[in-house]
Amino acid sequence: MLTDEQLAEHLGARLKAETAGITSSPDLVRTLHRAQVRHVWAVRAGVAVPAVAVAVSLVASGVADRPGQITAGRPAASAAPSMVDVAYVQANTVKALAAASDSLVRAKGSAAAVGLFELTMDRSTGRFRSDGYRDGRKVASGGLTADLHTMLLVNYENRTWSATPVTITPSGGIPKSPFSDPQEIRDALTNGKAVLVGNEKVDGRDTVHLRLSGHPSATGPGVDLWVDATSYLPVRTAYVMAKPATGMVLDYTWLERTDENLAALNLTVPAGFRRV
Amino acid sequence: MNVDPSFVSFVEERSTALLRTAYLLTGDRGHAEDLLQTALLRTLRHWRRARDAPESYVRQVLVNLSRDRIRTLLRRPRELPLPPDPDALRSADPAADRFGERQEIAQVLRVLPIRQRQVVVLRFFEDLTVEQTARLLGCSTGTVKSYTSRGLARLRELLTDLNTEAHHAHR
Repeated sequence: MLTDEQLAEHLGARLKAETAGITSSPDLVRTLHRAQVRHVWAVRAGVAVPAVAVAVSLVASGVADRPGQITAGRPAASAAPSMVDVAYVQANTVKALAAASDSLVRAKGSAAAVGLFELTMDRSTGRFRSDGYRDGRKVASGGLTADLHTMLLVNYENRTWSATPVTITPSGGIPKSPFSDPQEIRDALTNGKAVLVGNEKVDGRDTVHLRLSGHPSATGPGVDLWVDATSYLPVRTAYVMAKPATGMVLDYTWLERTDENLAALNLTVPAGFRRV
Repeated sequence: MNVDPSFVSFVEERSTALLRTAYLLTGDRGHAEDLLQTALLRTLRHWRRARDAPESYVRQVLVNLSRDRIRTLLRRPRELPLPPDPDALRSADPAADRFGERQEIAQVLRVLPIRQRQVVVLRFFEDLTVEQTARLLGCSTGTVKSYTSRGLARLRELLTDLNTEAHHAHR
């Protein structure tokens, strides 16, 4: 009769021999990477899907531009003309976005799919924070930590939170959209894919209303864009989707990069929440 | 978005060994691959915490996931179709059909309760000590010893060829 030690020793040897032919897939790292990218975007989507993808790409659109003399809130032109053409709006909008590359932008929006959400982004670093609301209550928040290496997600309904390591460069990994490339907005405005709808008031502000259509990366009939008639920074975008229920409206507030405004990006996990 | 190079190196070097452990814990190659992928993704998401001892971290996740999977399976209603051939009933015990031939231990392990199976795999395949196994499973060393003893006794019953083979090896 074998002792337990002898049997165990033989058992171990046989298990090692039996599994010697099992090897992991050579594509495992790639598979994991793809899964992680999907996860990161899913996390973002859980908070404010379209807000991140669309607003990030919108605000990123001016990053590569030559710095201009326009800063957020200051006039882009000496006086807003009562009647402007597409080229004029194009030049001033692109210039305004470039000049506001070191500012923060806050987007508030609503979409049928996700409800109300608010996104604040630091354009110069790509750091952001987003909060989702349902029935007037905050249900989830997400955002990058100051070192840009960790994404925090807080679920107020389940009283849980998670921290996911990420490496995201400013505007890196952002899905293509009509605004993800500065050239695209220029093209859209100059090659006939944009039309000037006219001067309109949005929440009491004078704006110029443009309608962009036919862009190859657009997912629906087009995008309506309202820019401030003085600063030429975007005030509102309305994404008109093929399915009306998926449409979305975003209203933008441009903020100076002050310590106080930057503090709004900090996400604190409430005491007593469980890490998942 | 980039994956930390140290994580990539870890996966390249250790994923095969971890897949083998996952296979022994589940008894199924497909489930083992799913389990490993899930465990590695969790490890990636907590890489800062895991990077000092990543293999232990993954092993811990594998053990937890394999236990959860068994619980999930147990929660499902047991509805088995009647076998078309009465002889198929013999397959109810995987060890029984293999009597008289060299048995595949990885499959026989499936007969063991999950805790006994985990202990056998961790102790005799991963070569962990009783203390390390107890830490990993979150139980006492006495419990690990008890599971080990019961697991070996059951395997001794099921693996007749192993008894004979081991007996010859130690004569």
